[in-house]
Amino acid sequence: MPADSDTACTGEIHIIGEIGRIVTEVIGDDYLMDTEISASTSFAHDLELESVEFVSVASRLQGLYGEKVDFVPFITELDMDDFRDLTVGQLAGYIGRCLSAASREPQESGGDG
Amino acid sequence: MADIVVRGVRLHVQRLTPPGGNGTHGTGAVAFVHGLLGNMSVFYYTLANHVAAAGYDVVLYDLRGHGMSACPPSGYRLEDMVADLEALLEVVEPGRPVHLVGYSLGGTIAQRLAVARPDLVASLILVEGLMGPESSHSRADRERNWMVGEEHAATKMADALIAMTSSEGSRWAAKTRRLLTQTTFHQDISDLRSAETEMAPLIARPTFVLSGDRSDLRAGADRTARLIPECAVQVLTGYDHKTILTRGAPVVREQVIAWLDGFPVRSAAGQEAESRCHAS
Repeated sequence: MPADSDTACTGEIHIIGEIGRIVTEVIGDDYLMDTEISASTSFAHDLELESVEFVSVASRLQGLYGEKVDFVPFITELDMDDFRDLTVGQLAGYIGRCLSAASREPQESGGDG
Repeated sequence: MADIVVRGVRLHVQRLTPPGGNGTHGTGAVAFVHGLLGNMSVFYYTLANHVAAAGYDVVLYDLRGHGMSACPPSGYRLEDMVADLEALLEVVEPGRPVHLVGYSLGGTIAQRLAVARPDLVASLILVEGLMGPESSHSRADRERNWMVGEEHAATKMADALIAMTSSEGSRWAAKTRRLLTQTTFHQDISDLRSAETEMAPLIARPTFVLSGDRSDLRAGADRTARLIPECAVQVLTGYDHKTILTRGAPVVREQVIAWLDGFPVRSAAGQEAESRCHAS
């Protein structure tokens, strides 16, 4: 990732774009032809993302953002019913908060992006 | 981590690490093995992340033909799935025994690996993972009838599963149908014999059995558990085979983490724990 990407990533719109790109990687273009991904898009209802596919999405986002974003606390607060209602905006908001917190901390090590 | 090819089959694998980096308290990572027609998500949302948050490295994977793993045309015998797990652990945790958590069929796979390769296993945690000598027959018969007992039964099963899981979306249904109709899966599974009565006395690793008191497997599981040399049993009140990992998840994770926390920290990587903190 370029050095200035962190600043851009803190913008929720950019994060939503990254989530959309990764969802497309996981399930393919064919399933998303008519679906515009926005903050209110639901992973389960709108994107019909399977629970195991969301695991893959979360893993790829972890790879993208590295240690700045820790998904373990996010998932432990989520149960299967919550997952069914989870929106792209909720996930993007969590990522944004993590990135903002990381940008305020002293730079000890970079993510593995 | 995403895909690892073992024995020529691409397996979907995920690792979870405790916040702040490597953890595991020095006692070994925790690997999860899901059940028949399930996938890693049965653990991911309700158990695996909590185990990671408690300080343990976690390995999750989808069995061949399941979840996001590849769906080869053959190789769905119990022996194949045990060999897959063996090969996977040798890649992801070389020389470091893991705590194996198996649910349902995943418990059978975990037991078999503990018998065949005790050097890979620190302990076994069987969540509704003992079929039992009697109930295994009724269960196997039920699955046999369901899958292959009648003409087009596999398709009927796929149809039933599609209806049951319509909220999961059509990709899962399509993959399930492919697994059931275009591979040797239903033949291989219908021949599955857990052979727990013979296997249980050979398990040379500490074993923790979690059963639901409403499970139809419980009576047989209790009898089998008594055959395991070092075994602790916990019966959870109010849960059956399925709800133990849904409604029962908070209790299960509390029990699992307490079990893991009871292991002594290993002094050096690759050294097996010599002593145990759990009474059998």
